[in-house]
Amino acid sequence: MTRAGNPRLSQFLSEELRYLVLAFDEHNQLISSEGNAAFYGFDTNSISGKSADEFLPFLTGIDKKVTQHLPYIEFIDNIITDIYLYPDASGYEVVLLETSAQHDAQRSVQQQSNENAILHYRLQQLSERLKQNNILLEKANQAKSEFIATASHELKTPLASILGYAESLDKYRDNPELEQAFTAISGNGNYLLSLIDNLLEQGRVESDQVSIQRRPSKLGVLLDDIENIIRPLANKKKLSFKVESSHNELFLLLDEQHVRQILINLMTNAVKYTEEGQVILKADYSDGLLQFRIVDTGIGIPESELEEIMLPFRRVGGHRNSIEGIGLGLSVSHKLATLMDAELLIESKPGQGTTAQLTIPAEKSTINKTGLSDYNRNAHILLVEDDSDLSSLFEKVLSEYGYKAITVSDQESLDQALNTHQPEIILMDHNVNGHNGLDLVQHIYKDDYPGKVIMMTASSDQSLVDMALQAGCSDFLQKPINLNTLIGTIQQYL
Amino acid sequence: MSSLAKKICLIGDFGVGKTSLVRRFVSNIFTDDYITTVGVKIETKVVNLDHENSVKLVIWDIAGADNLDSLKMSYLQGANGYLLVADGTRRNTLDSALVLKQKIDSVLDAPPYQLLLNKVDLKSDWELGDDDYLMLKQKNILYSESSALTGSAVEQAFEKLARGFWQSK
Amino acid sequence: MITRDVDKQIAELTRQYKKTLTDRHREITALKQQLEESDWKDSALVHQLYQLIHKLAGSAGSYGFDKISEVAIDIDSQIKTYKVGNGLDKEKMSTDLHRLLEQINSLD
Repeated sequence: MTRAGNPRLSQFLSEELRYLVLAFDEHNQLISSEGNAAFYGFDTNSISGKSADEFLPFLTGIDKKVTQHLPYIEFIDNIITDIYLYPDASGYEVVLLETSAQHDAQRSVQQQSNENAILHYRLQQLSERLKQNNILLEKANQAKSEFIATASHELKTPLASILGYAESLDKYRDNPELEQAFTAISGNGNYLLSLIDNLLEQGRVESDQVSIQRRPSKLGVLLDDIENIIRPLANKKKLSFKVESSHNELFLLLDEQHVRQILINLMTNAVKYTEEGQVILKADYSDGLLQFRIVDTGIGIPESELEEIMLPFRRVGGHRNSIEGIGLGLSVSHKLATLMDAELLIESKPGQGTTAQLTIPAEKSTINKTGLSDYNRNAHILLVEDDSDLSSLFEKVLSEYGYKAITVSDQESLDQALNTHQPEIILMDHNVNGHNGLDLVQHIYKDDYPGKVIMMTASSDQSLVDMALQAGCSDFLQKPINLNTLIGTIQQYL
Repeated sequence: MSSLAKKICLIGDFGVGKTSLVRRFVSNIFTDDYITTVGVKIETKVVNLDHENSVKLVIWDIAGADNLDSLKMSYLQGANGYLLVADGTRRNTLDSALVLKQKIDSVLDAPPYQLLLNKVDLKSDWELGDDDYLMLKQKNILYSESSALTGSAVEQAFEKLARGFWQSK
Repeated sequence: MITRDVDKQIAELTRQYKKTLTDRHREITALKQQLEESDWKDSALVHQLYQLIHKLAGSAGSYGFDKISEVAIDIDSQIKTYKVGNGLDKEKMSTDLHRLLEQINSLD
């Protein structure tokens, strides 16, 4: 751009384009100016005679012997200009050209782009942190499950021993005082067992480890078991307790362990929340459906709370301290019921009582024999074990309790023994002459074995325990096996 | 009475607080809004070193980016020193700062600088860890933790540069 | 609740088991020496020792030999880890084996 030009055009240009051309000599003194000095806040009088750097601070450090184009410079508040510098014979020219409009347009775009980039970065960091947290939670959850499994087992082992010894007092049942003591110890012991089972089951249900195993089960025996557990609790509160069923001789395919658990939960709840009156357990079977109804005359549950009580660890309002138990019962029951395609309904009127109804689809069993008979002393117990030191010892101890124990150590003999003796319980070692005990367990259950398998594991092998339970084993015994524990555990399942 | 005029540039990734640092230093104000800088903002401030001597700092606040294109290099020409700025709450801005530093040093022959780890008022949200500080120490990069919001370490950074210019004149 | 008759039978079994421990003592002593001489590098020998120790770990406790059971279980888990490729504290192993042999010796 040059100094000469049509004056009217110059004026128009300088006002519209807001340009300013300043010429300087080689000593940085202003020689001339042309254009809209006022717009840039320059008063032609005050700037003449001044050194360039003084009123054009951007010149500091700039090489004035080289043509320069510096776009979008804001050196005066709110005025954006492009700066051009042209060296010439007498010095150099500086041209200021306002470019606010283009600048603002570019700024909108850049603003958006920057903000997006920052947002994107933050989201990425957050997502990474969440991922890390999830991993920690997973680990914590797993640790919790393992802890619960170990703790439950540790708790159940001495309890099994206690119950085992209680059983041995059975011969004194004729004495009414001892009968009461026996019932109380037995009942409460089994109740404690079911509490521990609830804890274990809650953990298992949460991590999807529960499998439903249906086996032939005699309804009458199931009801008897439950009555034995609940009666002492009801007696303590002086409640009337009745079991009504006309199908006691029926054999049905049920996951007996889990059905027991649900019924015990529902019944203990009924007793817990009833201060006077009665608790009744009714059982009925028709059209392929086994239905249990538990009716109590207790304090009832307000409708607003009915749904909430299905969540773990909640209990009916305001009774947290006065009523025992840990509040897992209904939640576990509900989850187990769902797993076995059963329906659990709770009907209640505050002040009038509660009815819990459990409806389980169940087929009749063609096999009329189970591992469950009244204190079956003549039960056959099959030992699958290759260590003769151990098998001789166990056989001796088991014989004392009237059990008939046989030992095998390979699959052929195992099959033979299953056919000939139909043992109610099988004690399986985790390793039999090189064969994996788990494989043998699966083999046994494939042929619809109706009894219980207990796995004998090596010390501290948690993964084996999980696999054994999943394969269908009812329990496990950790080696080295304590003889009392052996008896106590077996008695649980007979 | 003698005075010096020196050009310094603020360089760093976008959104790290360069403009806010200049506003705090020059006008002593801070606002929370983020308005991106396009091109350059130029401010001047005289730093009094003692009752006789002063340095006039011509401050070029250059639009933020994680790299230097030829345009930015032309803005940087003739700079006597620079302030490198990173945002403590975004670790990637420290990485950018180090890349920028390398480029500037190679083109301008390693002029004096200050590294500011900015937004220390948000220290609880910072993403810098012990290994980052260790890395700076190993590269012999001196840094301060600043805040345009509170003013912490801001004036000192500019003054350090100014003093340095004076001493090496 | 074990009757006197079964009591006697179990006592007899226990006595027999104790006798086998003497054989185990001999076998373990020999293996220990061989393994120490070969710096625990012979995997066949390691496996042999493992089989002996594992049986002891699984049965000694049932017969009531708790101290032997405890040491055997400890050694069992050390060998198990070693067999799957981890390191072995050879000094600890030798010390533990020595302790086991002592325990067996101290039974009358």
